[in-house]
Parts: sequence; structure tokens; C-alpha cells
Amino acid sequence: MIGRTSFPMKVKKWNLRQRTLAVTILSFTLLAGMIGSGILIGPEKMGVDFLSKYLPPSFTHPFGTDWLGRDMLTRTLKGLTLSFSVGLLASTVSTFIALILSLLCSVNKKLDAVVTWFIDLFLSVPHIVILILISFAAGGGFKGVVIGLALTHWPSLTRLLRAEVLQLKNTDYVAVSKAFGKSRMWIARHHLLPHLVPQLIVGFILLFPHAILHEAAITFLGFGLSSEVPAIGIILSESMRYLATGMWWLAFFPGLALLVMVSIFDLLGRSIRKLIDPFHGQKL
Amino acid sequence: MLEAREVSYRYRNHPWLLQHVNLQIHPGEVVGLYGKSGAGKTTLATILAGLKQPKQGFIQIDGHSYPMEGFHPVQLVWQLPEKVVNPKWRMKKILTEAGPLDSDLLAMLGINKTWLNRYPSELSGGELQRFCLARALGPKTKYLIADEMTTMLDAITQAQIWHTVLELVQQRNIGILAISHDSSLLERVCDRVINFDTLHSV
Repeated sequence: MIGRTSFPMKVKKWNLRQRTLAVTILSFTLLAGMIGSGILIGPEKMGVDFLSKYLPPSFTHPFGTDWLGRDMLTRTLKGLTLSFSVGLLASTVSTFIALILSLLCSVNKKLDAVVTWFIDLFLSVPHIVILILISFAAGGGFKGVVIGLALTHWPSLTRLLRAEVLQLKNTDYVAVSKAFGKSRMWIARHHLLPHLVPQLIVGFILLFPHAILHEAAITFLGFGLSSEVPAIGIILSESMRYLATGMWWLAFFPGLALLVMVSIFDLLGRSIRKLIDPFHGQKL
Repeated sequence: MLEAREVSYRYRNHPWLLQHVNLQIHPGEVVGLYGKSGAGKTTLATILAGLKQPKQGFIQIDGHSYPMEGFHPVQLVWQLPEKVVNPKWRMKKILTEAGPLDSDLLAMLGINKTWLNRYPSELSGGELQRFCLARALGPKTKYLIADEMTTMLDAITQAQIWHTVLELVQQRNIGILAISHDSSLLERVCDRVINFDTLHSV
């Protein structure tokens, strides 16, 4: 106690910006590690080994093995990588759709009403229902899932961007820009887009967990990816058959891994929003 | 000649703000417009600059009616410069939006070259107003509407800026409408001063 009072501990308290930055870097590294290891795992690690089937979690197989003796850790990592690529494609397309539609809102009141109507339409139907319909109509599989996810995840981001665009459109500096004879496209590119970029980045990252969870959900229900690919949804739905016999690790670890990945994405999105939205807006 | 004829304007669900306004400004002439707060001076300014359409009446420049294509010959200098510059742009981009840089004009207005790399939030209101003025005084500008242009500046800066503007008016034969509620300033800089209340009959 005496030492403590005479030599005050030199624990430097981090401020919010430093903490947020640390969280961002940490979650980014974790995600990169997950995806990277998933990509690096070769097909030889995914093989069937009947000598070691139904093994509970151990040091050689941290996530256990399944009914064909496949290592659940490699399968989970592969599944997460697949989910990531599905999420990446779907979120990119969704963000792009949201940007285009929100810029259309600024053209005139009629187009704005049309876009708003579409947003309301898509938001009024349960997400998973349209998702199943679209991915089924698009032929199922990887393509069907990506199309389905891309076409159903734009509405909430579009609504956010639309509000921003309408507000920007009525600013005095846009009026002045028109008086300088600048075209609508020029104004959209130079005045509106720089203000939308932070929203776009954050919206894009926050779409990820949604897309990934929905991908797993429809795959679990049997409308998504085909059953030979190691997707998390497939792993979970197959493990349901073995759950009753006490093989809890088949569902527990892949499900937990999915949850962890989704929450890290959420954390990353929220941290980046903190970093680029209020304080650093003008320099982005 | 910039001419407003029988211009009337009202905001939605509000009584008429401007009614039958008639106004003429000749090239090279400095006209002052004096009026109380909330009388509709700024609304008239935005209508004359082509940013709002009048509900009745029309505006002409040398016989050409509004709306105009391209760079508008009537440019407005706003009361609050902070609101008319994009906060995400550097000053250089803000200036070049209106056309290429004119270093003589920048020197005349007392704009420091080092300010060009700054963001609007890093400049004071008076400094920003100089930029807005420089931007509005492009080579194609024929008329300038100065809506409380120097109200927020100190007396010395006010004098400096008006001195420069009056010099440019003579050089380029620009017509100016100076709007203010500071009648002594208007008496000092204008060729003729109009009272806003006599301009129209509400």
C-alpha cells in the first residue's frame, strides 16, 4: 500500500478515440485471422477419417469430429469463409443499390415517392420470406443466395441515405452550385457523395452480420446452398440429427463461431461509425 | 439591365410576402435596399439570383427571361458564409467550383494564399465571406446581390471589402444591389437607396 501511494501507478488511461481505434484494429485482425485461416485450409484437411468419428472436443480436434470423422474446426472455418464471401458479395450489391436509389430520390418528388413505396413494400414483408422466394426463383445455390440477399438488404440503408440526400439537396451550397451552372450529376458526385461515404462504409459493414445470419438461416431451412458445401447453415442442420444422441459439439461450436463472427462484425461497424461520423467527418 | 416586374412571392400557406415588386438595376450602378428584419429582403434576393421562382411576375436581364442556363449572371453573396460552403471541401475547391482562380482578385480581397488549403471550419466568418465574394465575382458575373454582406464584420474589414467591391464595379461595369438594415452604410456606398416598404404594397 505504501509503495502505491508514494509511486502512483503510471497507468495511462486511454481516451475514447484510442479505445475505439484499438477495438477496430483488434476486431479487424480477428476477422482477418478467421477468414485467412479458412482460405488457407486445403482440401487434404477436410478428408473423411472413419477411425476418428464421433470424437468429442480434444486437443487434436478442438471442435470434435462428426459422423464421417471430419474435423469440425476446419469445417467451421471453411463455413465461415464461405459465409464471409456470400456476405461480402451481397452487402456490396445491397449498398450499391441503396446508393443508387437514394440518389434517385433527389431527382424529383415522383421518383422519391416510388422509391419510398418500394422501401415500405420490402420492409412490410418478413425478410426471410422474400429472401426464400427470390433465392428459390433465382435457382438456389450460391448464386440464388447472393441474389436473394442482395435484393432484400437494401431498404433500411436506403431510407437512411435518402434522408441524408434530401437534407443535403436543400442546403445553400447546393443552391449556389446550381447558380454556378453545375449539372445534377456533378453536384451528386462532388457535393452529395462525400457526405454519404461515412454512411455507406458503416452501412456496408453493418449489413454483413445480417446477410451472414440470413444466409445461414435459409441454408439451414434447406433453400440455400447445396448440402455438399461446408456452410454453417448446412453444418447446423445436419448436426440436428445427432444432437439427440448427445453429440452437442457438432452444433455448439459452429453456432458459437457464427455468433462470434457476427458480433465482431457488429462491433467493427459500430466502432468505425464512432470514428468517422461525428468528429472526423470533414477529413474523410 | 436587371429588371424585376410585378414580382410577387408567398411561402406555402402564408400571406403574400412580396407583392408587385418593381425594380431596375443598371450595369455599373450600386443600388441600396433598406428594410426591417423579416420584411422579405432575403427572399427578394434569392428570387433575383434565380434560386427561387416568383409566384407571379417575371425577371429579365437585357430582355432575357429567367430561368437561365449555365453560370448565372446574377450572383448572390449570402449573409452567413458558413452555410454556403461545403464543409467537406478545401477552400481551393470551393473557389474553383465557380471557375479558375483569379489571383489579382484574391489579392484585392485580401485572401491569403495559405488559406486555400484549409477547410471552412478553420477560417473565420470574415475570411470565409471574402472567399464567397471572390467566388461570386467570376468573369461572367454581371450583377451582384450583396445580402447583408458585411453585417457580421468589424468596421475596418467592412470598409476594406466595400472599397474593393466598388473598385471592381467600376472596372467591370457590374450592377450591385446592396441589401442591409444599416442605412448609414447604404447612404455611404450606394448611388441610390430604396426603402423596401415603398417597393411593394402588401
